[in-house]
Amino acid sequence: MGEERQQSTLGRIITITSGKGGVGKTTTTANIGAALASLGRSVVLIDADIGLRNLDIVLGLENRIVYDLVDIVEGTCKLRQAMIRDKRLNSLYLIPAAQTREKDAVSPQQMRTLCEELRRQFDFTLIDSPAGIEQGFRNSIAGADDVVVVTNPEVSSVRDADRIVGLVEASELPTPRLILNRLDPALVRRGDMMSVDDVTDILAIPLLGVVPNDETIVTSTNRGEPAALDLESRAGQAFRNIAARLNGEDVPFMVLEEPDGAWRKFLRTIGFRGNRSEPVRGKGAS
Amino acid sequence: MAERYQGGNDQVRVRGTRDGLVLRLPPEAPLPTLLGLVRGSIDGGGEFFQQSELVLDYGTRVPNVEEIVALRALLEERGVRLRTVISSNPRHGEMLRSWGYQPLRIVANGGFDDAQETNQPQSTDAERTALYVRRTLRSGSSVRSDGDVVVVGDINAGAQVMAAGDVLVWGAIRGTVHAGIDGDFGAIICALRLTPTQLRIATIFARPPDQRDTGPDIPLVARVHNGEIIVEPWRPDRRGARS
Repeated sequence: MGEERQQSTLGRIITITSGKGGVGKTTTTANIGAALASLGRSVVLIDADIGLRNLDIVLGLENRIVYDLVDIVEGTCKLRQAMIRDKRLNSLYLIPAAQTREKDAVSPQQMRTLCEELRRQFDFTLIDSPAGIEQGFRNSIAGADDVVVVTNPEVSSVRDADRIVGLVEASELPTPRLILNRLDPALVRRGDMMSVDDVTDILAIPLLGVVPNDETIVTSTNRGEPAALDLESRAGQAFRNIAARLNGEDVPFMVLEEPDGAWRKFLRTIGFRGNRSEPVRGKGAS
Repeated sequence: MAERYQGGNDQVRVRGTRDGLVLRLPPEAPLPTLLGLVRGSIDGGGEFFQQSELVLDYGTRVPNVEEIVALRALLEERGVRLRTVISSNPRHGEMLRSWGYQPLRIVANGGFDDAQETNQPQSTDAERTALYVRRTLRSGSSVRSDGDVVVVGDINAGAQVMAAGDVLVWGAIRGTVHAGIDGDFGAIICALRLTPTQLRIATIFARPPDQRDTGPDIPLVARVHNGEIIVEPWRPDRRGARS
């Protein structure tokens, strides 16, 4: 299965994480993986969420699982036996999580060893991190070259992403890049949702991509068909753009703002920020 | 410890102490007389008071906010900064403290003892040390210092900074900052952007109004004024922001 890539260069290990659960890590991993594979790169996805596996479902590969990640590190099976080839893309593989075990079934050192092995066989190894900041997260970044943080434009999700960025920086990995998932331009325009600027202002890390909120994601995820393969899907387009950026291409960001969004943007650039109320004060202070 | 007397019992007495100049007020004199006395001793002191700061010692005199405000205005007019107001009556001391004037020496019982030479929480500017943090403090990180804290970067929501002295942030404060943790009501918190979760100075807490907004994009200073934390624009013409 290493035949897809040239042996001359080593592949990259990228961990997709978020801190908070439910922001779309697994969907993001599946879609970026599918998009990279459709660009002709060899890709393996690792579901590091041991005990709560999902990535197989999103890819529609659930019924093909025989061995899993824990079987590999425990030596129950050979690496290639646990790798499931995608049913649509022949350069995309999945290493599923064990469903009946827990996070401590794998150690950071075992993850590093596995990543070094996969690096020789694949252009991209994408690790779908579990939510949280405990061992599952630490395992998932142990062997990584790069970290991608997924967040939604909401305060709690950004707060957790911030915590993750701090932990990644502390572990001497390069500054993570950001995917802002489920942005609704109409809500942003009404001032009811954090904008891209609001989020990047707080997190202060490079933006890898913005994925618009898209109902078709729900159906494609349930059907096990990544939206990235659906040329009609807006979210799918965003994931394809992200994949292309990871592949080293310079892809401009999608225009998500609606017509008068440009006006708002202009106002922002000249420093207009709307009416503001008073800053912090103790009660009744003058 | 040089002592310099400027008169008898009904006079304002000026002392040079380790804590700087201390102006002892007469116990009885009414406000107009008092203002005249203070004005006289400062103007009479010539350059001695120029650009200095001093401590008002109420002694046995009953403190009164209006009076302090008037005295502070008078001092400011003459380029003298009011560092704090103290009293030799512990009950008055407590009162002053609740107005934001911290005692010079805090002792175990929460009062203070003007005569005690040890246990000094206030250090002179030359002795102050600052913890210099040149990165953004993200959610979950915490910094604590026995001196001041200088952050070049942001303090994000979920992060916490605690300092015995001041906290200066060349960036945005979005998290919780506690200055003067050991009881220094004179501590200040300043930032280029101030949209904190909560601010604390000594024992006083403040949070932003519930209808959260991003606040003005101008440097702000938080300090204690009349027992409450107030936030005001940083004015380069009034350095130090204590008044």
